[in-house]
Amino acid sequence: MEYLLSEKLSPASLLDSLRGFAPCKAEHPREGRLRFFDSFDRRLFRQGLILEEETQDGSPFLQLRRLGTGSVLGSASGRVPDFAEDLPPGGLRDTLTDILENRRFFPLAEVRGLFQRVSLLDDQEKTVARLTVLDRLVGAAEEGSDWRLPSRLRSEPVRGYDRELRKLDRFLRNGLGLETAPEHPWHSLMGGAGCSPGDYSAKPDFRFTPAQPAGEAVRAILAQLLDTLERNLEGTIRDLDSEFLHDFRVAIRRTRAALGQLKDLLPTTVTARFRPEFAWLGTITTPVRDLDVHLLGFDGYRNLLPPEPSVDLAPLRERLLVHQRRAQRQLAEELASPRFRKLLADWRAWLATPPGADSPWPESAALPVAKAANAHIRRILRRVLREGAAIDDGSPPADLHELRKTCKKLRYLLEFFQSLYPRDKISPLIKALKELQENLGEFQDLEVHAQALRAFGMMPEAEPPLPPETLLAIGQLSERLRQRQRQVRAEFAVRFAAFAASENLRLVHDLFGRKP
Amino acid sequence: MKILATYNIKGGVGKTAAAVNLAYLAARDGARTLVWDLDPQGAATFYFRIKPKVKGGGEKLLGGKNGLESAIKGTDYPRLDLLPADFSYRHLDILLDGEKKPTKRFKKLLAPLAASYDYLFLDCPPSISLVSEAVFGAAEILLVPIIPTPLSLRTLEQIYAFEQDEGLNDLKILPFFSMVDRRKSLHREIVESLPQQRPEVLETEIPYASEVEQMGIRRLPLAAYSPHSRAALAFAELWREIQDQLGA
Ligand SMILES: Nc1ncnc2c1ncn2[C@@H]1O[C@H](COP(=O)(O)OP(=O)(O)O)[C@@H](O)[C@H]1O
Ligand SMILES: [Mg+2]
Repeated sequence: MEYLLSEKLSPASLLDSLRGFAPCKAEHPREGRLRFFDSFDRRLFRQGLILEEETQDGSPFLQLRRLGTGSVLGSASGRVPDFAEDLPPGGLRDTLTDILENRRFFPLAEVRGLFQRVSLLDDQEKTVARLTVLDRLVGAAEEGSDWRLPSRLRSEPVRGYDRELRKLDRFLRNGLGLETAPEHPWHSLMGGAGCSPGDYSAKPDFRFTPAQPAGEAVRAILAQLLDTLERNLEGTIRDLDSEFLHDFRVAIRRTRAALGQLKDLLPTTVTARFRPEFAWLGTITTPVRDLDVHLLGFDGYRNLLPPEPSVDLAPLRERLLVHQRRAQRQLAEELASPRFRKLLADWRAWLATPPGADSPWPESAALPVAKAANAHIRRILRRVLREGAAIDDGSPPADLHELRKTCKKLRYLLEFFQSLYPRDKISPLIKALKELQENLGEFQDLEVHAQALRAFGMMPEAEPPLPPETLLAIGQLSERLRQRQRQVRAEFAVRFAAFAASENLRLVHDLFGRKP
Repeated sequence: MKILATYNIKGGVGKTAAAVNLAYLAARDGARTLVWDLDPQGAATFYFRIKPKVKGGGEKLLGGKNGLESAIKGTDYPRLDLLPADFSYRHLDILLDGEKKPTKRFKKLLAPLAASYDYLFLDCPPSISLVSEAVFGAAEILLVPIIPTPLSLRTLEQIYAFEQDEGLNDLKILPFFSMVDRRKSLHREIVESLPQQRPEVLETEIPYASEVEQMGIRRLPLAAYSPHSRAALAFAELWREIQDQLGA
């Protein structure tokens, strides 16, 4: 439990009152600091959690807490590392790596003040409850300025002494008239800095009414995608973790899909100006992402091989890292270039133009968005079904790759416009598409991995050759990847048939009208 | 959850001192730690100032649903909890004997604790019994304090023989020297020679020290009142060594 201490009740008089209630042992107040951490995309917050780093006397200590009750789910000594996997082995590391995966910790806020620990004792001088007084609190969220926060009292249970804690809580509430703190200090600080705790999500949330003009709806989609892109820009340039670039690229791909698939709803001058620029952005971000994918998949690689050759792969990892860093430097330069800056500025300027004040829009832009969405989704769906039906066991990988791209376009359109459709119909359709996409995605990834591994095996002369046992291990690995790829390829027919099944086609008919 | 047991057939060799002090260090470093005082004499329970009493006794612990969980008491230290001793534990053997597969049953009993704890220390009573057999089956590491005397060496051999007979391949036996008095030539000799036959003997030895005896008067773990004493530093070093073994 966490209480707010009113101005009238000083920590000293609080202690006096506590002593009247039960024997206590109080340590001296010490300067302390609490820092609050989550990933950039607030994965902990979404699970109702926060990671606290508490420092007193220079020895930091970590606690993963539930936001509502403040109960502690895991702890470790030491400071917050960059990534969860760098924590000392134990329950805390396991829980956090499950939730955060490859996302890095971000300091969201910190408070400093005087912290005083108090133990409530029984007649054996045994601790039955623990309290911490957090006094003279000042803090800030992100880069915001300092705020004063009301003093707080934290009560923590000692296991097996629930009755004592209940009595204490009753005393604090009724005897001393303390109010329970309505929110975690981190939230108060975020509020002070004008942010909300969960204000970043990689998943955009588009909402439209059916009669809204289609052109404006598309512009709103593009504006939201630009927000996502910009929020991930700094993390991408600094390579804080690989998810920034990933989200950055998804925003680019969605933008390109909108500019391409919905071009008849936008001014031609706009699509002509920006489509090539976003294509360029896609191209310059590809090398780093490919290397990230290799590095992220590396443990998976190792597990594909018996122990010994898997050890031999280590030099490959080193090599990948070198390449990744080189590609990353180049990307950072591109993202600092005048061309990119100008793209952002011009794009933002056009998105902010009031309706009617810019170059002429096509007539179809005035259509109700629901109607335009139906037509566009129908068209791309037809293409998915046509391309998929044409694939048989002898079709080349390029055909699957093409279908994969078409499926992505369909997926993006479904996501852009899903607010226009009944959830119980659109969700199952998206889910069915997702299952098909997984098969196509894995097939293509394996293709890319196997090709890249071969390329690494035949490294250009400019680089020192990899040791022979590493080359051997790479060879073995490529073979494993090919095997897996054959399996995935064999599953395609079933997956596609499941997607094109009559119940899905019925959904399609109900959702978008007419036969696709 | 890592399960460690402090065990020796002999009493008074430093099992409880090790369980209490190592568990204290584990919790201090951030791990959620539980000590189960399996000895009906309740020395560990006494050190933590907790009543040596479990509602319903050993029977309830072994029998009911979450019997263990509801008996746990927090200690004076954050993250360090205790499952207290109870006088009825002297019949734990008979209770386990009534079960079809005592070892399996014991393991199953401990399994739910894994959600709440990173380490479980089992502080065993001296003797070979069904209880110790069950402990051997459940623990990952068996910490065996040995006072460097010929008699202690014999009991160590008995433990190894038992391990062989029972085929306890998953159990890591880690003996360490306890109550070492370097002034005694016999102690010195054994401390030098045993590791040559038994390389798994831990390097850190716990010296004989009056501040360890003080634990009984102060009812505190050693590091809580004398963190810089030689014995306290030795326990810290021992804990580091054990953690290395757990990682390996
Ligand atoms: N290193 C040591 N130096 C001095 N006395 C010790 C030491 N370790 C334990 N003792 C004392 O010896 C007695 C038995 O120790 P204990 O840990 O309870 O042994 P066990 O659990 O093996 O029966 C206790 O009184 C304890 O205080
Ligand atoms: Mg004992």
